[in-house]
Order: sequence, then C-alpha cells, then structure tokens
Amino acid sequence: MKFAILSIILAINAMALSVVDMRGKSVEIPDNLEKIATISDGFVEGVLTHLGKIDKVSSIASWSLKRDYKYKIQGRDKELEFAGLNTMRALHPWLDDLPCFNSPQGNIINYETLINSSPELIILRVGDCTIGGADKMALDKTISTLEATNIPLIVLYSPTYTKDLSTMRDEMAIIGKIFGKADEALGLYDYLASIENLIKAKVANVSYEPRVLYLGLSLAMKKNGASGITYGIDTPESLILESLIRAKNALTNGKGSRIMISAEQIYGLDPDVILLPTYNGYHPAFEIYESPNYANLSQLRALKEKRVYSLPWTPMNCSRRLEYPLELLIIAKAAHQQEFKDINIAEFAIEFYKKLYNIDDEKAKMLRKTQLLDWTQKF
Amino acid sequence: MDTEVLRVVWSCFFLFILLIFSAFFALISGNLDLKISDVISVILYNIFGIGSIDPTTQIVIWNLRFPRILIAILVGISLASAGVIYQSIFRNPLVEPFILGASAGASFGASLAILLPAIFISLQISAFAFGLLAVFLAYILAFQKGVTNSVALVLSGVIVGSIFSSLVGIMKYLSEDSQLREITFWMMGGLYQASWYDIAVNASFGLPCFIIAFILAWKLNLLSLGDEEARSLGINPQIYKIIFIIIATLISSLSVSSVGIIAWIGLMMPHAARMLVGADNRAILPVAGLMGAIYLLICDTLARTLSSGEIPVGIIVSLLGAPFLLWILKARSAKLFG
Repeated sequence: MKFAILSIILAINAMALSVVDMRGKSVEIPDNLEKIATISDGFVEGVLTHLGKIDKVSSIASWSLKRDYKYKIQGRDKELEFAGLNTMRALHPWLDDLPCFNSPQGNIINYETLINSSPELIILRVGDCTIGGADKMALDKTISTLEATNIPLIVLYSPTYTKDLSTMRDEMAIIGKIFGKADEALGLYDYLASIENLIKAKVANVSYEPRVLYLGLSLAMKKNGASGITYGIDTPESLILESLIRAKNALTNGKGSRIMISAEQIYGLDPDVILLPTYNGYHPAFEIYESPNYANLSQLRALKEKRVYSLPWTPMNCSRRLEYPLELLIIAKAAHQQEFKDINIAEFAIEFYKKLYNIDDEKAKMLRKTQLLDWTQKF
Repeated sequence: MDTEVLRVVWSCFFLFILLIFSAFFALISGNLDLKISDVISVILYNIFGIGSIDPTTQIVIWNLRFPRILIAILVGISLASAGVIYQSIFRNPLVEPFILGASAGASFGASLAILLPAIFISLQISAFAFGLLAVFLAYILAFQKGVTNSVALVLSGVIVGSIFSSLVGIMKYLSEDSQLREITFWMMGGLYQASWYDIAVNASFGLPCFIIAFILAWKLNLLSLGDEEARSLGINPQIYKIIFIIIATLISSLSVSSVGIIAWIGLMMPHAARMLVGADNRAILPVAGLMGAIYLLICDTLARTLSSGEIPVGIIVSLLGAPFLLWILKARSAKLFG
C-alpha cells in the first residue's frame, strides 16, 4: 500500500509542469498558479491578456504600467494636450494599484518589495527598459539574486537583447506553456507574423527604397537648432527598415541607438521620409510643421512634401512589444504610400487590437486613442 | 615698445587672425556641401541686404552655422577668462570655472526646469539662477569673521557642488524616462542649441564682464601674490576677490545656461596662455580668451563634421584637452608653477 502511494506521488511529481526558458533552464511551474510577478514593459502582460491570464499578475516592475503620460504640443497658433497610456495600463487600470518593485528608471530591482508581494512565479523579460541587459554582469547578478529568492524564474530574451525579431515566437511559446496554452500563444505569433508577411508582399516589387530618418525630437533641443536623436545602422529599427520595409536608414554611417543629430546634419541627410518616435515625449507631425521651435527645418524636402509621420506612443519601451506590427505598418505606409493605399491604418488598428486582446470595438477604439493613433484616420 | 608688450600684441594679433580663419573654415564646413560663394552671398544678403539666396542656404548658414560659431567664440572666451580669474585669486593652477559649484548648481536648475516645466518656464534662466546660487552659498559658507579664506572657499565650493550633485541625482531618480534623457543630454553640453538669443545674452553680459576683468587685470596680478602682499600694495583683497568671483561666476554660469557643461577649457587655456605670454594676467586674459575661442570653435567644428551625427562637443574637448594638460604637467611644470 505504502509503495502504491509513493508511486502515485512520484507519478504526480513527474507530471508537474516544467518549462524550459530562453536560458535553456528547466523551471518547475507551481500548480494552480495564482500570483505572478512580471519584469516587463507590457509584452508579457500583453500575451497574458491574450491568453486570458492577466488576472494572475500580482506585482509589476515597469513604471510604464503605472504612469499617466501627458504632453503639451505647441503648434503655430495653438497648444494641444495629448495623453498617452501603455495599452496594458489602459486595458487594466488595476495594474496601477499593484506593488512596483523597480526604480522609476529601471535596472534597480527592490527585491524586498518583490518578495513581500509573494509571487509564485517571476517572468523576466531581458531587453525592456526595466531590465536592459546591456550590462551582462549586472544582468547575471540580477538573475542570480532573483533565483536566490527561491521563487521560480522564467527568463525571456527580447528582440532588443537577441537582435532578432523572430525570437518573440519563443517568448510567446514559453508564456503559453506556463498555462498549457502554447498553441494559442503560437497562434498569436502567427497572426503578428502574417502582418509582417503582408508588408513583405506589398513591398516586394518596389522600385525605389526611400531614405527614412527616425527623428526623436527633444524638448531641451527644440530651440532653433531643432536637433534630435536618431538610430544607427546597427539597431533593430534600422534592420526593420532595411530587411522588412525595403527602405534605407537615412543615417548611413552611425552606430548606436542614441545618435545626436543637428538640424544641419538633417539637411545633409535629406531624408525622403521622417518618422517621429516617442523620444523625450510624444510628437505629432503637426508639431514639426507648425511649431516655431522647428522653423529651421522648414526647408527640408520631407517637410515640403508632407512626409513626416508620428509613430505609435511607446515611452519606456526599449524593446518590441506585442503591438509592433502596427508600427511596422505605419512605417511601411509612410515609406511606400502607393503600395499601401488600400490599407486604412485606423481601421486596421481596431481589428488588430480586437484580435490581440479579445476585446470589443469600444475598447479597441480606446486603445487606438491612448496610443495616440487617431491621426491615422486621415492617413 | 617693450619687448614683452610687443610679444603680447603680436600673440593677440596672430590669435585673432587664427580665430577669423577658424571661423571662416567652420562656416564653410558641414554635412551640407556649400560653397564659399554661398557663404558670401548669405553674409551680403543678411548684413547689407544685397542679392537673393536660396532658403535652405539661408537657414543652414545664417540660422545654424553662424550662431554656433559665435556662441563657440563667446563661450570659449568666457570659460577661459573665468579659468584665468579663478586660478589667480585661488592661487591654484588646477582650479577651473566650476570649482565653486556653479556647474552642479546649474545642472540642478536645468533638472528642475525639465522636471517642473510649469514652474520653471525657462531652462536657461533656471540653470543660470541656480549656478549663481551655488556660488553664493559657497561664499557664505566660507565667510567667517569678516574674511573669506581661499582654501575654505574651494572646500565650501566642493561641498555645495556635492550637495547640488546629489539633488540632481534625486531629480534624475524622480524623473520620468523622457525627462531623464533630457537631463542627461543637457549635462553632456553642446553647441547645437545655439540661437541668436543666446548670442545676444552672452554678448550683452559676457563681453562687458570680460572688459571689466581686463581693465582690473593688474589687481588680479596683485591678488595672485597673496592677501598679505596685496594688502601691503594698497588693495583690499576681499573686495576685489568678490568682484572677480562675481565676474567669473556670471560669465561661466551664462555659458553653462546656454550650452550645458563644457569642462577643460577653463583649466587648459590659462596654462596655454601662460606658456605663450608669461605670468602677467593683463596678457593672459586676452590670450587665453582667444585661445579658448579658437579651441572650442575647432572642437565644435569637429563635433558636427566628423560623422553624420552630432558628437557631444564635451567629449572632443576632453579627448584633446586631457593629453594636453598631461603634457603641460609633465614637461612644463617647473616653468609654469615655479
């Protein structure tokens, strides 16, 4: 009898779920998982939302999931205020009430707050602003300290860390496995990949690859000099332009993700298209056309031809998030207007959000608004 | 004419010609390929109203390159002059314009303006005000029994600087991601923000300060001998120290508020000038000022032309400046410091 009971216990243990994370480490997942701590800027939470498991999140490490962001934008004769929210913060306002165990700027975990929130599992996404991963030694120390808490730890490597967009598939699969929903998670990836494929198909035969400049505008720099920050040729942003969009990075010989660029240098680059990412604040296209702060850029060809576009709102988002295909679509349409004239981004966004988060029309429209994408109705 | 005076006059003349040449070279250098004739056309059009010019050329040369060149000249003169003044009154060759905590105070002021834009409307004014406040605090701390001891002043400057640096740390901690980047970029310094407004402000306050310092330079010579000697030669060292500290702080804080923190110029240029014209501050001030202007102008031209992106000028200033200072310390220490 004793032998039989022992065999049953061993058999149950043998069946206990274990998931291999992106380190290649097998992690035992507790049964009836109820409390998860996430160290991610919204990606992990987004996948959990898709899988219907977001309610398991009990503590967070990203301040982007807590903050309300507001921006005052100066036009020619008006000032407008914009309010942006992380999609997860917008969909799940209760995330703001959860304990946050990181410094506002990231990379400094408060382990006591983490332990105090008593999670049964920690999911760490390396490469987000919360834990960047650029400093390998610091990352190793963070991981070893997290492991020392004896709370099971799943480590995911984001595209910023791996320099490869496709590794998001592994990230999604691992999150899915934790809940026995790997197929559903992979289905989500397939959907995102299908949008990438749609873009690839539409640009396959373009005859001209436009030169695109990412221009992160800065409050401190937006005096007459109108300088900004751009991405070098070794960044995921540049890779996306070259490999997926069939466009060129207007900056041809700089490396790094924070290259300062002056107004004269922008004239020197003479980009066909300018994209305004959320860098030091959200920047709508009308700002660069109208604000006296950017008067010195008025003679740029891209401005004269009205080819300046604002990217979705993404503060504190150092790595790709679940909504990245929407960003790709905007970039692709900005670069190749003719090829994408049949796609209305605003309508596409509604359907996209609905599929992504299993939400209704109203909530999807709310997300489009908080992502500051309503301008795409006229795009 | 006295040989020494002749040497100073010729040095100033030579440096002035070099400055003009550097400015012209900077004017025709840049990522956008513009001809000398374009530059001349823009100058004729804007100053004498002659001819017509392409709008892009007008923006690049008149709105972008000209302000950078002029602000480089003004800031270079200011920082180098402030360095001369501080090194003389503190009688310490390693003192630089930000020794009394001006840069830390200005950084705090700029951080406040970035973090609380509704309260501190102008970043420049906030940086300037807190730069001055830091120096004022350092002076108050060092003021005891009617006397301000130089060593105590440097020490209190270090303390005040440290406090303001900690406050900047708190500001950074409290700031959002985008604000943090703003603070970081402001602290890196750069002339890309130059505007005609900055030039007007720096010229209006900085140049008169420089002229006053030049007129009073002979008293700076007396101060550099020490308080007792200065007193025995008939001047009140306390009063003149205060005047010179106000002048040096005003011009360095003005520079910081316009272009952020640019180190090394105030430390290096006085030494370079001493090598050229000796120890008389009446000669060192103009020579160091001109050298500072040329040096910053060359560094800024490199910063904006070496790559298709902007290299923070502070990096180039330090990269070239540190080996130079090392060479001075190794090779010329006996001549410079006796």
